[in-house]
Amino acid sequence: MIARRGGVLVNLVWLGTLGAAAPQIWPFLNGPDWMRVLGLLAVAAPALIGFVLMPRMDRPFERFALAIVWTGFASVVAILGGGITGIGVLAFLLAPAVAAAGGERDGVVKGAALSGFAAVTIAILQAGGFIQPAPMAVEIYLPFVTGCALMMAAGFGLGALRAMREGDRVREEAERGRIRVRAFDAAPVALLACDQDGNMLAASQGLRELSPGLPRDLTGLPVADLGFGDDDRADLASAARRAAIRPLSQGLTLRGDRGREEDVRLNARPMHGGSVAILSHDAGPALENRVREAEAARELAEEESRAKSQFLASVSHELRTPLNAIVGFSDVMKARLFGPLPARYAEYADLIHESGQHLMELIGDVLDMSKIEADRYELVLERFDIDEAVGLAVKMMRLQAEESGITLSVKRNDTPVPVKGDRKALRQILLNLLSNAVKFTPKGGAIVVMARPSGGQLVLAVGDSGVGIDPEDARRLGQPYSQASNARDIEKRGTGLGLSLVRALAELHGGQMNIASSKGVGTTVTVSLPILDKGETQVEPLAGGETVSAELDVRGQIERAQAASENISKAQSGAA
Amino acid sequence: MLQVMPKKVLIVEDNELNMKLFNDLLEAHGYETLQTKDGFKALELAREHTPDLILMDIQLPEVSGLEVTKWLKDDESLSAIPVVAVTAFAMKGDEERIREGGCEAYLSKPITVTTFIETVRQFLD
Repeated sequence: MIARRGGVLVNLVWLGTLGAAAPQIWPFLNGPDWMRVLGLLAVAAPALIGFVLMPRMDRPFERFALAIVWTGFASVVAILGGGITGIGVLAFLLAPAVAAAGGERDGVVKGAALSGFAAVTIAILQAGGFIQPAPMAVEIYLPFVTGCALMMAAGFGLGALRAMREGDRVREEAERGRIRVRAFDAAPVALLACDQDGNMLAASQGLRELSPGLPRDLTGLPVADLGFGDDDRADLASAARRAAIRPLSQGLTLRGDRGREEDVRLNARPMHGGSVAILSHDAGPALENRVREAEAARELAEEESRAKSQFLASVSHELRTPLNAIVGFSDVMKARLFGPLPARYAEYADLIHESGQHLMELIGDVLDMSKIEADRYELVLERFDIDEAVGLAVKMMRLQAEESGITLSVKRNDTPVPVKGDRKALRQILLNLLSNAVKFTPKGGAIVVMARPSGGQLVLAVGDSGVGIDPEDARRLGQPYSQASNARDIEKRGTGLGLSLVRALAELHGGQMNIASSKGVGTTVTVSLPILDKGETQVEPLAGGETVSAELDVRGQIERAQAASENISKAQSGAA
Repeated sequence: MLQVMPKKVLIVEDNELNMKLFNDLLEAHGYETLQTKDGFKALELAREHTPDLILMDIQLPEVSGLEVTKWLKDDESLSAIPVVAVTAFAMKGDEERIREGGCEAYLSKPITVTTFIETVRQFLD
């Protein structure tokens, strides 16, 4: 584009000078007018031909043709106008000037060489006397010199300007190239460029991190040197050759740190004269390893779980066998099966029996908790009426409550409430809650049990007028193997598993347990379970208010029960 | 007064204390007992004495009580004798497994005097 504009300018300069000088030249030219016009056209010819050739100036042949045209013109001028020693020799500078305007360095050289050759030829011919040039006429002396000078100024000026700009461009290009080199070097990945024979051309710092201990200058070294074993070396060499033709992706093993193998993935694509590749840690083998490890760990865990289960079964058996003798024989004594016992011994027999029973319950709790923790507790879902289950549990605890002087009352539902759950687990929840309540409620206290549908769930609530629990302790309760410290009577210690078991069994059913307690007033434990049997599963979220209302209900009931029992004892003492 | 032949109960139990407990309880209620701690011997005794009831411990040293029960039930002359399993296998699903094995009733250790006697009476009175 610039070459064309430069060409236009020099040609216009030539034609302009010729036009301006035409009136002066005209009288000098001899012959008829058409001869004169022809003469002027001959002088204008190189510029006119330049206009014709201009659209193709980017091709070497056209550029050469133009140089020939100007050199030819210069030769004619030199022969006709004073020879090699005359002023006409200036015309030999026009061909290089035109080439310079076109911005072609090699064009300038070629033009100069061509002009020089022509000039030398003419000089030889002149010296040999083959041509005798006439000195240039005075009339055209000035226009000729002016035209040549303007042409050279325009041509070489443009050329110089262009050379300057070209220089800037080259410098910019070089700077950009350096930036690219630095970017390639600093890329946070392992980059590697190779020629088509598999010799390394450049590598990023990342490659050194991937494969430490590489020589400082990798250029020219075979890419195979990065490989770990002989097979990997061969793979690398073949990959580099193939990548020069088409993109590829494959796994390889490199020499890693301290002679370790480094599994990498190579993604490469062709570039001019070779290929460029990115090497990355191959997650594949590592991932497979991890999956294998996880699999092995899972199998081991399952094996351990089976062993644990087996162990629990045998522990259970081993503990129950001697307990059977303890509870059985003491039960025989308690039943006075073989006649009366002396009073003290009778009491001891009762204590042995009671302790044996307690021990049995504890063993049951520990085993159940272990099973839940080992995820081996399986719920057996049955349909039944919750009041029936509550009634049964209360029946089992009533005697114990009465013996401790505690009023145990049940708030029954008006209509049966069918539920679908594990009957044994629910009984265990109720028994644990009731037994806790009995344990921690002093004589004259009251316990109320309630099971009612609320907010789409079954809410079990057991409230007592017992010693209560510190809020701090309440938070810890329900965590296995922890027990409220201060509130507990030393005589009444348990394993701390009762509430944990309740919570775990509730959670197995998808429910939850809440403890509301204030010291000296009593404790209410509510368990909400999504086990209402409505024919279809329809679980609505339980609003927080529902448990609270259940608690309030139970508390009200306890107050009434307590008032009643106080009245009764007052009446009794009054009667006595 | 009409003298009734006392009912015979075969106790298969490997723990001596439990054996004594069951024996004493049964004798106290007027039953006659046969005792063994060996499953194979149990089959022999059953053939020889035709007891009215067999109390079968499930975990026996040589052969499982369930296995012995199966042999008893497979033998036409013995299959009518009720077998009550007495076991400390009190894990979930144990009762079903034992009933499926052909036992008529199931008592879990530790026993209570009342349920024990009630269960035995159920088959003998």
